[in-house]
Amino acid sequence: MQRKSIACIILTLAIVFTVALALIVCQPSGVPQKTVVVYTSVDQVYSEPVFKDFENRTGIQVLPVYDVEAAKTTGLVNRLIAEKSNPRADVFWAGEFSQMILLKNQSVLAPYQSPSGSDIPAQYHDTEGYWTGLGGRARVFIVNTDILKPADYPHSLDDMLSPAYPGRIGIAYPMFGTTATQAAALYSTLGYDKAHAFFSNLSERGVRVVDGNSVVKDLVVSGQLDYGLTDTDDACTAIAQGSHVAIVVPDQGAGQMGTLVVPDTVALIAGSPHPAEGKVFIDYLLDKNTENDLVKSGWIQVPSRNVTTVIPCLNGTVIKPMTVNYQDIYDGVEMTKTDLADIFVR
Amino acid sequence: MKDRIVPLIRMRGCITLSAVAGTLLLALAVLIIFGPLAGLLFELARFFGAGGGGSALAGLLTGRRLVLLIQSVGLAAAVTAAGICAGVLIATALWRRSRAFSFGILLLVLALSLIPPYIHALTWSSAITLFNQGLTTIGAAPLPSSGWLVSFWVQFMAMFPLAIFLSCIGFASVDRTLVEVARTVRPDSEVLQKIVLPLAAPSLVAAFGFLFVLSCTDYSVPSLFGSDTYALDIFSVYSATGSAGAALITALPLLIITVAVLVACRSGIRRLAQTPNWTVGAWDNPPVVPGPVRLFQEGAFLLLGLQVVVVFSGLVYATGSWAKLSSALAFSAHEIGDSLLIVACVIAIGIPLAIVISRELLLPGVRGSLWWGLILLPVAVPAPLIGIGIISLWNNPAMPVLYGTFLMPAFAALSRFAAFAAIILYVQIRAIDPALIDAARVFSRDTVATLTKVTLPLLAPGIFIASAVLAALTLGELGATLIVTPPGFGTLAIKIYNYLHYGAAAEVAGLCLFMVAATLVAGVCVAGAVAWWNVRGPGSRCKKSVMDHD
Amino acid sequence: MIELSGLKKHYGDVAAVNGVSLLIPDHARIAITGPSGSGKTTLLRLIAGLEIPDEGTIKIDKKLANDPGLRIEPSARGIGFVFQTAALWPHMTVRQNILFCLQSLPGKEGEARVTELLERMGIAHLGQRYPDQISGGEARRVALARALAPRPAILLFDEPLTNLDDELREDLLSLISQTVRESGASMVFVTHNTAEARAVADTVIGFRKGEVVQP
Repeated sequence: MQRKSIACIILTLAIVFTVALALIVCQPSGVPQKTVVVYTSVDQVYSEPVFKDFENRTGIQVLPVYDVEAAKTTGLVNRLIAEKSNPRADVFWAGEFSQMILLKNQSVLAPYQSPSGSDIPAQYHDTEGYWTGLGGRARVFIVNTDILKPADYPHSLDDMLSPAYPGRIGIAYPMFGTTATQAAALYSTLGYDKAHAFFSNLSERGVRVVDGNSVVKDLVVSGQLDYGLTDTDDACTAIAQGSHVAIVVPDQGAGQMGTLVVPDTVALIAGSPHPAEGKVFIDYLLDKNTENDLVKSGWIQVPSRNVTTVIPCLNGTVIKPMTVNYQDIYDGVEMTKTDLADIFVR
Repeated sequence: MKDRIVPLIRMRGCITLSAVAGTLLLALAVLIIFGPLAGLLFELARFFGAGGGGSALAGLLTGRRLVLLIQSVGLAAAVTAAGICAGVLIATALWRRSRAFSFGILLLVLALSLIPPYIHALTWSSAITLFNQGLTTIGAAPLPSSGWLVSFWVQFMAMFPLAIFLSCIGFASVDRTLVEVARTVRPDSEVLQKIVLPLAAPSLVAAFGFLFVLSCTDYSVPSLFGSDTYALDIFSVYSATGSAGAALITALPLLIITVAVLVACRSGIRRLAQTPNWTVGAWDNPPVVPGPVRLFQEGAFLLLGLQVVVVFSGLVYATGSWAKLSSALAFSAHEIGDSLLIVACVIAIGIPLAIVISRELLLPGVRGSLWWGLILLPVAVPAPLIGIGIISLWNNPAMPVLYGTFLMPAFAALSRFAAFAAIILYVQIRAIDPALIDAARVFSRDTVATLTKVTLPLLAPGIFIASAVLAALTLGELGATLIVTPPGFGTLAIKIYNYLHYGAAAEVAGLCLFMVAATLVAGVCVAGAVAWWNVRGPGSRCKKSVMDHD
Repeated sequence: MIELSGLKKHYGDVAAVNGVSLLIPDHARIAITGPSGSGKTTLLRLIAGLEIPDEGTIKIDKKLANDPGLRIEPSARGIGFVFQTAALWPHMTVRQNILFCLQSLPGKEGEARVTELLERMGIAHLGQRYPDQISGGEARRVALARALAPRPAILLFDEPLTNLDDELREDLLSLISQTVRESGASMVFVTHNTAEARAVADTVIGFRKGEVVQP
């Protein structure tokens, strides 16, 4: 009886082990052998079609890993750093640049200058060739048109503090995401004292600080806020959905600083398992046609090059970008985030 | 002589087989559940080695952070206390209801607890806006739409379903005979106060601890309503520095408090002496509660009803149409499949681990206490840090096959939630007369037969409930899963949050509705399984006859 | 006096109590015997008010106890109940277990009553102990003291001597017999042991398949 039980156990364990191994190791037939692993903080809704198109064109299967805004961008970047000694990703495609610079400083990236990016302006390239930028999004105001008349629209970041522009205002936590990047840009451009004063006054004014740009958009759309700071992709989504909102690009006047344009960035991961396929993907992503597709899909509103697609939600507006140095912005990020946490998280 | 030796050898064989299996499972439990903590400690050591520890410790409890900590703990305590009180009211109100009604309520609250807190926040935010529009129309002052009060309310409503579920489980642990004895000598109101509540107290205290930890580590609801919590500050540091070590040090004060609360609660569970009867029928002549208490009970039901109406109407309204629901499901079929695979894996691995751990929890002395302390630690650690610990442990050339597979998100869920399954089974095991197992060991020399025909059937109700709790928690897990989900793999929680960011409220609502419906269906299946088990299956033979020693 | 008339109780298709009519006069000592599953415990629980009959009436001192509009609650029926398990409340000491049953005797009177009962049961030294600190036999004595504490008009015993050794069983049987006689309460003693029934009661009633039969 006991021998039967032992045999039974061994047989069961063997079956379980075999099935598990088969699930884990074996690939179903028909799946291409070539793969590329892409970690991306670009919204799945926008990045997934890009991956599908790439697969159709090249036959290389894309295995994506997505980030979520709720994880405050602590997810993927920290995962890449943690995996540094045994990388799993081939490519990192980010929706902004400061995280990319952080990864470069942590020796997570490998240099690669794609021929597809040769016509992208110089300011979008890392000086040492570790990453390349392409078109991106701008920081804008999203305004509820049922609540505010055009005369009451804010036109500058300073208007958020002006009593001439009262109203319920919202921003995302400036310690995370593109709001943090914009904050770091302001600290870099205005200097610590002015930027600190600006954000302190904003906090004292009672601006509503929420859990992400999409939340700002949701609250403005629902009328819980009069206007807020967000990215162009969030604002354009709201317009495309027929919400009663308008986009106002801040600081566009003569002598004003312009608004921050946050480019997408892409880079090869050092020691990646599929470097050749990674390079093919980067070449594809930096291609002008792909950038055009991203403009068409609504992810990019400020292309790095002239593309054929017109961006409907901006009504042909030409955005005056803030003149910035990405490295300077990045250098100030940690200090900025710490300072802003002191101001807003209390 | 030979006859005496042979049984002895055979008995040794039995012990060796089960001992080996038990030891292996225990080792696996240590690896899976505590391994991430070891990985995190390694990251912490590296952080200190790089010289970052000093400054991080120095800035640990500055004035601002201390205020944040007090605010966060205060909010969590208030939310949890309110949740448990309301949960107790509903659990005691269910005594007057039929068994089918009680089961329906349990299933409903289990399904509601699956909905991410963020969704509760969004639906309530919209409901408050709508209500305020109405108030403004009639000239009344609007309700506050931000601040601590509304944060408390929404977080309370988000935790309410789980509080009810845990309170009902807590009351199920009270031995009904003890209540009946008291009812023969004292009015029901005194019996409730002096017998029922003290007997249920250990379980309720444990439920308090669990909900307190969940509330402490949730920043999404308070931040939506402008209330900043300590958990948010931890993520600020993580975002600013990119360092798990720095984040872990920042998390230390909150960790200490949550672990202390959990350890205090486990003392209550260890004193638990009653026999849980998860499947007991309704009271034939239920205890009568005083009039004022009854009013509060009805009020608690109204709150639950309000929660259901607000959440479901918000979800249905946001979904908009069947077409949008079907397209959301079709577009998320891959994620639904992946999520279910992870859930199945978590249950398949988690239940055996929980059984062996629950046996350790039963041990007296230092060993048992040590296990109690250790098992609760991963619960208190912020989810993304668990993910980083997993990478630290598993992402190395020695284990190329496992890292990068669906086992990693399963291990993340196990590390965070195995404690709950172990505690549920601990309570169940305590209910089993040891003589039943001993008898099987004496009369059966077949370890497998003892396990399958005696031990597992006796544990069955606890196993079903532990599985349901593991499934619910795993489906909603985001923070750690995000860090370790393999390329090409996606879960429903990640998809929902991605859709949320994109602004696809309809798709999000549709997926949430699907999760609720799936839970209800799964719950009905589990209930059917339990019912079959008790009426026609092995459980019916375990039960005494309806005449019961008459 | 307790009058049961046409009492019925079903669990699904099974009739646990099937049309039982019984008169339990004051000071009566009745034992009910029958095999396991015959419905004896259900009958006791119906008398105690812990379950509600499907049909029939229960009258306690001529007052209807199971009127849907005015049911007499268990604690108001003047009964003492000794369950099959001792069922002592684990969070209370032995003294507190007994004191809890003395709602009509507050303060010093209650304490004196508890002391008297503990001495009568021969367990005065166990007053401050918790239930998990006493033996099974001692727990039964505490359960008996608890049932006697409020001086009930009727005492219900549901197989109180189960799982006890012969010597202890005899001791407790004798104690029960003596204390019930001294208290003057009516008694209904349920057992499947006929000898036990005859030792403790004046009248022995047989019970089979929910009905009264010849013993």
